[in-house]
Amino acid sequence: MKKILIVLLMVSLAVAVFAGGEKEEATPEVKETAPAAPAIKNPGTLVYATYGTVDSLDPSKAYDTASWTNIANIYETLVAFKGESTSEFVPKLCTEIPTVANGGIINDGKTFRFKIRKGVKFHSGNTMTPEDVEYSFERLMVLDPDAGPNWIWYQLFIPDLYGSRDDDGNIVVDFADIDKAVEVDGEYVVFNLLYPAPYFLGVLGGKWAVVVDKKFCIANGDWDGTEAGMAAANNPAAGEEPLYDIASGTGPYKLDRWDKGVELVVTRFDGYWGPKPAIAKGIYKVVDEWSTRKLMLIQGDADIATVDPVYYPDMDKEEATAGITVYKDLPSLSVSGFGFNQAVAAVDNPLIFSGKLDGQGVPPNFFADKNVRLAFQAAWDQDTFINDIMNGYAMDPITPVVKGLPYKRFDLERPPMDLAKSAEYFKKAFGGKLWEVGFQMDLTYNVGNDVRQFGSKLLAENVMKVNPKFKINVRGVEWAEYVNLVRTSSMPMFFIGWAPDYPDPDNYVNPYMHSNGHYAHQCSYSNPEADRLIEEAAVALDPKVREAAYFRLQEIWVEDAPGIMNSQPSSRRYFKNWVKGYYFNPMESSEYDLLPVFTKG
Amino acid sequence: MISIEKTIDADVSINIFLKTEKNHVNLLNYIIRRLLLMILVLFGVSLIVFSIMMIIPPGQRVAIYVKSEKVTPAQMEALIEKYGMNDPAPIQYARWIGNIFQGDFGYSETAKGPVIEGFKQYFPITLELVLLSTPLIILVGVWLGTLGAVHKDKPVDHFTRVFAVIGYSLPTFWLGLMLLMLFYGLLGIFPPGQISNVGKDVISSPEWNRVTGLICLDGIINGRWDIVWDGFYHLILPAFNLVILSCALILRLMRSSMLESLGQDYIRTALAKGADRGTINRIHARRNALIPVITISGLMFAGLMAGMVITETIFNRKGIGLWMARAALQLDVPAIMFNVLFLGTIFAVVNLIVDILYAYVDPRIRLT
Repeated sequence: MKKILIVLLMVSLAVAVFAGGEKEEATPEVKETAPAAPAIKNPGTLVYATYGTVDSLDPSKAYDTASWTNIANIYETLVAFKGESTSEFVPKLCTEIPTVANGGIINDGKTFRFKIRKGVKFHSGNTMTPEDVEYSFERLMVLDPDAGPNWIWYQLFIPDLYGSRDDDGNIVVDFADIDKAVEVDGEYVVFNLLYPAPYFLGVLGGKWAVVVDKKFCIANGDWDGTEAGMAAANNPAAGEEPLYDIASGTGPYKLDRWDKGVELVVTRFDGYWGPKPAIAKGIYKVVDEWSTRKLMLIQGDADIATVDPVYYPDMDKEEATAGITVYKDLPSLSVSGFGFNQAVAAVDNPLIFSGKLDGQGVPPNFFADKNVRLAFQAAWDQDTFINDIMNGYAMDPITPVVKGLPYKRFDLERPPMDLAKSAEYFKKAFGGKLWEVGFQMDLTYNVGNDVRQFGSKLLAENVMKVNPKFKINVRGVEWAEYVNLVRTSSMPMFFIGWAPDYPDPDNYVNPYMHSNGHYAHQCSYSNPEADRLIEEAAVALDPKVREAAYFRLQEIWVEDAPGIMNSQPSSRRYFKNWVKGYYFNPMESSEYDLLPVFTKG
Repeated sequence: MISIEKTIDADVSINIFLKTEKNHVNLLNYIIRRLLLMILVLFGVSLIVFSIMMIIPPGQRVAIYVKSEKVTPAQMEALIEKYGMNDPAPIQYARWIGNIFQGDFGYSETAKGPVIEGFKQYFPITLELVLLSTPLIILVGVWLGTLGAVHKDKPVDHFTRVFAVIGYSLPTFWLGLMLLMLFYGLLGIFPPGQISNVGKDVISSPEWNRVTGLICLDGIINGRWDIVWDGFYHLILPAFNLVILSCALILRLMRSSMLESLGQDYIRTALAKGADRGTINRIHARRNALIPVITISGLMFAGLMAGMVITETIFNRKGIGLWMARAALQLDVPAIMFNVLFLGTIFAVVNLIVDILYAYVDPRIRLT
């Protein structure tokens, strides 16, 4: 019996070894025509190995890059970013970009008119009409699922609201406001903004602004397009969004299948109105383990692989021999830094220990004292952070406005690291009492982010060098705990990042500096001048007015020090060298956005 | 005379029949009792796990629904309210139990769908690997353990002991990565995943008859030997990994159990009566030595169902172990609760099967 078993095992192993791998490996044509060149695996199919799990394919819910990069290939927007630019646009489902000159922008910049392209088919076979465009945008505001991206439409179109519901979940938006926000005028679709928004085209270029198939939606139980149907359609539960895992877009690829958490496959849409893509099939494959992803890229089973910056040095060793193409120093538009919370939740908050200025904790208003903020800033070692922790793969943004966008100031300077200066500020804080008694608090970051961990330790150690009575515990928290701490405004200080929703300085200064902005509100930062400038610049059509406002806002950031902005990462993209056609646009969700552009071989 | 003999035979037959019938009734009663007890055990387990989950504040449990750092506290409050996380724990538990009785195990954010759909997707992937690995682990473990015992203190014994120590000591992730680098990275064979892209197209097509979700078995049912091979080809490396790591326990147990058996009086008696050594080892000693191995094998089977997170991660097989790990990390309560109940059931059923097997392997054991 055991002999038979051994023989069976050996035979199985031998057959497996000499069988030569998977079915779809190199085609005979490639071998015959180019015997010396590496055989292209999976010709006609592009495999993107990454680790982000797709959340939803419904544009009303998707608010993450993994979902967006797949939506980008299935659906289309009215306008798209032109090549590598974040400020120039090309028409997609409209026929020309509206301007003041061509009469597309009227009413002092508050009305945008788009002539809708004809002869465009959805994957279902339906023909796209201006009514589909109107339905698509109204649908976003009607469905408005929790934690979705639709606040932007409310901000632009609906007076005094940032969502369809109040805190108790009651619908408070008037359907008439939604109805008149987007209207059909013959072969045009008209957007009626509350105020002139210079960044509106950038908003329309995002994956949240795609056009869906009205007939297909209604046939699949989606909102019926009427006021009466709004209550039933509003705020669907997670996974119950009507377009969660089905799709009928106008994009060059149609959804083939989605194995949740495993892979999402799209195939070329033969009825596509634009140029036919070279790649017949795209596979978005979730491969969590880095070593496995790397081997798949090297072996050619993945054509593109996500590589985190921490593995760049590892990949440098492979670059010459692995047959890969690397695009380096790509300036991302995301920005990271420390936030100082000026009004920490005081009740049952272990992060501030005693909650008093007694040397055993910090008072809730610890960072409300500007001297404390400046002292922390003077203790921050930016050079070590960029060179040793970011391995040089980042730029110093100084303020929340990033390089690559208009109105970035390059003449501002970060106060140099100076522990003596830091001590001076600390001695002035709280009338000198802080220096005498010392303090203790937690500095938090989300677990798994090594850069944030090491950056936090760098700052904590420098501050503790200033005075032995200062104690900062660098504490990693899991995502769940992090979310809870944000909810309760418990973190006295935290390391966090921001990725843009649309490429405009407004989307940076607003969250960081407006008293109602995302992080500013969390940190209780308020500066009336900053509020006024942000509101003025957001609606100003004159570039000079905007420039003056954003320039001054960046000065205010340096003066007030509401936080320490420390990095605008530069990233890389890794391709098997038979993949051609990539170009970098900072607004891309991932390199997979360009599936219709890629060729293999 | 003949008729008397027949009468005696008939009595014996009736006695045997009655005895067997009684044994069957006992066995059936035993199984029913154990199954009823299992329901109570699972109820208790669900209460304990649910209570532990309730200790975690709603603000953390809501994180599963929060995808972006940009979410506002007001949005989080709305989510907590929407999913009833502020309700008293007994109400939440009653709601959960009530839904289960209606066949609704809830929605799993980590599976991106109803829990039961997630289970249907992930479970066969793990089961297929466990079904291939477990017999191999047992066979290799029993074979090497027997070899070691029979050749005690000889080079073969030393070799098996060293093999066992190394296998048991190797970190799972390290061995998995080494195997992957050697076979896939260097030789270009045994790729990660469960099936090739072409094979995936086939099993995802409407023509494919998905009966069990096990690729190899469904391949046989569909008469597609290319798919059977494709699935098996992707199982070889992870199964090899598990065999190296897990057979050490069986090997050591088998060796010590076998040594104990070989030292028994009945073995010496058999030897004295002239039975050959091979027959004694195979029939007399090994059969008795297998009893503790059966226990461990059952537990190992159940353990593998839950504990393959690392193997599944490295070989990119999206199985139930990986799902559970993700669910636990992200506090995906419906998925955690379901999997705890499922694994509880697996452990209970496997233990029951092991107990029944005992009775067959060792007739002295009675199930009452």
